[in-house]
Amino acid sequence: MSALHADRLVAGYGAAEQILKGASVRVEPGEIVSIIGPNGAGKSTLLKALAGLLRTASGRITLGGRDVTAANAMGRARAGISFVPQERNVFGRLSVAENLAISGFLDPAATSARVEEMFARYPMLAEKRRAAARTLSGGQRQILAMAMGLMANPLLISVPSPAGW
Amino acid sequence: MVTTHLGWGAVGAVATAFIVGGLVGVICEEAGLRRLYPAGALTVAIASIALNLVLENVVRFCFGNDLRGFDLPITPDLVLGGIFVGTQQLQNLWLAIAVGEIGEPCGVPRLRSFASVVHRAARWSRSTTGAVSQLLITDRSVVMFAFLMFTRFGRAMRAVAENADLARLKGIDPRRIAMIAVLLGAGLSGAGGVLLGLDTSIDPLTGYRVLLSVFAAAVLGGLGSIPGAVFGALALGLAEELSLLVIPSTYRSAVGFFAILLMLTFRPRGLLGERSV
Repeated sequence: MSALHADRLVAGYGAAEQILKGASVRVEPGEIVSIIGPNGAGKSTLLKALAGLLRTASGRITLGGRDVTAANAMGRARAGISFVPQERNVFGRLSVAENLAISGFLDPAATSARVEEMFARYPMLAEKRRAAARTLSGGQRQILAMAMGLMANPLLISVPSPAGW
Repeated sequence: MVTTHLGWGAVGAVATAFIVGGLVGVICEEAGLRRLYPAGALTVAIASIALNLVLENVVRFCFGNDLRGFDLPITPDLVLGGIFVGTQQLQNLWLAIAVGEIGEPCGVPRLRSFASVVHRAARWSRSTTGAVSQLLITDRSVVMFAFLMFTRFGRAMRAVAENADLARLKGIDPRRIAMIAVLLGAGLSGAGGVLLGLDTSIDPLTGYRVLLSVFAAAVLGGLGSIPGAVFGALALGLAEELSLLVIPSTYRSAVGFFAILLMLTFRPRGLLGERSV
């Protein structure tokens, strides 16, 4: 069973401007998939549509065999899709530890253990745990954003333009 | 009504005010203000002022315009180091700490919370010294601060206030969080009104009279900053009282206008407000 199967998605920014015109993608468990294309091809639009930030006009999305097409961004997050935005991807006024904790909002019982796990994986974050996220450098902020994306132990994590980070 | 007809006493009145205030807040939010969100913050702010006028007049229609107060026994003030402190104010402090005070990260309830803080600042600074006022305000604010800083829902409120879209991606429902915030904020504002009534006489326009001070305190401290709200309320309350040394009391409200003018001109984000990321 595929971790993710998006089938013939049609989506865009308003009815008159459809960016995705029948895009399909399949991701198997443990697989890393890169979506490559020129500027304006719709890479970020596809990821936003998968994350539920854009409503799809047609098509179907299943996650671990479960149909999540009708779910909004919250529902997709609860189903196991973790989308790491390219910009505005941390809560600047919250500390590093709070950013991680809030990213585990859906599973409060496991949050403390997961936060410590992230600190072990990214020691820089442990050193800065009490610092407000807005005080981090650009690179540190992206590491925090990635750790936040991993906090919920998602089935799928999607990252737009990681090379540009 | 709760005290005179049902005989529930002050604690019952505070609890009832919390529940009724919270429910009215949620109804206003869900039935009115939420529908205006797409029109922008300014529209919502103006609508909230209009809603405030409607609610005040509903209360006036139902209960009249007379000053009301609780029929409490007269007790002598305590003298602590030369400072006169009313026993009712100490009881208010206990109730305030027990009930708590929640500031909202967004929307009208925050203004109501500011109003409550400013109410107390203004009132207590009239009847006691600034030091005691500061103690009372700070103690209430400690509970508010602890809730927002150290609880799961408090963190979620701060997260939603800063970036609702990102919060959504983390599985947090901003609408649900906002509703909890409105419930707690409006409820505690209602409770604050009863506490104010225990200390002084109140009427349906009591809140309206401090509206300018509320805005001035919020602007002075910095919109969105909880310590800023406390600091702004305290500073404004003290400034209004100290201004009486040099200007007639008729012009007391000019201090608030002057504070708003200065802050918007020289530091629009307020003394403790922060720039966004």
